[in-house]
Amino acid sequence: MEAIRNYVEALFAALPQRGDVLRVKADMLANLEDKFNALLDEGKNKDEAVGLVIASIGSAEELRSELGLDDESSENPPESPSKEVDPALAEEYRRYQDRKHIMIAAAVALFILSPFTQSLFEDTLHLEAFGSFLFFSMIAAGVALCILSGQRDDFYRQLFSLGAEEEDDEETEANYPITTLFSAIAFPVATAIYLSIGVLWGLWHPGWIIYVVCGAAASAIAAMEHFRRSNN
Amino acid sequence: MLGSDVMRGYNDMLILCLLREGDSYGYAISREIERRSGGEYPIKETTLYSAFGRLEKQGYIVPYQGSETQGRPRTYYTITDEGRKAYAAKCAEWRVLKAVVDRFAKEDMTDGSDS
Repeated sequence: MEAIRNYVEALFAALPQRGDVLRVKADMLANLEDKFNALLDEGKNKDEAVGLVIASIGSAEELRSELGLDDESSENPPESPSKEVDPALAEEYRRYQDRKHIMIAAAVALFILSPFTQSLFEDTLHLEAFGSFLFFSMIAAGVALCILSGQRDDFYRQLFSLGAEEEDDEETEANYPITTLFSAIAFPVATAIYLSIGVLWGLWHPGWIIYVVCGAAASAIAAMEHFRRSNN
Repeated sequence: MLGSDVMRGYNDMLILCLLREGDSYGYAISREIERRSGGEYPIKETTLYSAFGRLEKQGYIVPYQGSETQGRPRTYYTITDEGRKAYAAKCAEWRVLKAVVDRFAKEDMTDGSDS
């Protein structure tokens, strides 16, 4: 009976969980159980009974068309009824994306500029403590911006994955595992290296290049992965 | 054995026919359809339950919760007057359809002329 239940669950998984659909599912399960028990009473063994019951259920396409779900989404497969994405929400998401890009750009600018402000305050104005304070504040602000910018991303992703991806150029992380992994690892590592060589050897000045290299590498990897993906 | 595409349009009629004889529920109806068709038409579950939904929306049948021996509450269906009318109309349609299709169903017909 467990196998039958799993089959029915899978059959209904792609359908909208509306009241009428759920009732069909509950009824179907109850009656399949009757059929299963009747087959056992006829002397069939368990495996045979499961096979016969599952064979009698019918296909998912049939269920969709019989329930009249076909005309609602005939152009889209069930997993991606992208038309259901609220346009207002999409607009909000776009605005959020713009804001996110600005925040990341500002964060990178803060990282890059931080050693210069430090040397400005220390060497020309001789305010050493304030220089260091400002330096670390800028790093902290940059990190905070990075975190904040990514924070709402998951929220929107979830909203959209209920409907599905709206725009094709809005790449999801799942489609680009290498790029995602690289960005996740490279930038924190770069920051660690940057801070280490800066603090230990004072190499703030050529050290900031690591961000440029990282950014270029990330773009190159993303481009490569995209290219490989679209050729498949 | 008949597939559901061949029977499309007549599943509703089969169900209404059985409900005219008394209220019933899913498994009993599918078992009865298979039995009366002599095993020629084992109706698929998906077909059956979606037909229930459609008939209910059209107001031809009404569901109610019946209690059953095996513990699970079961959805029974009863036919409405609308349903009886729809059944009669479907029967009339079938008689015409049958007569029309019969005229084209002569296996020994070779050159299209009626001999």
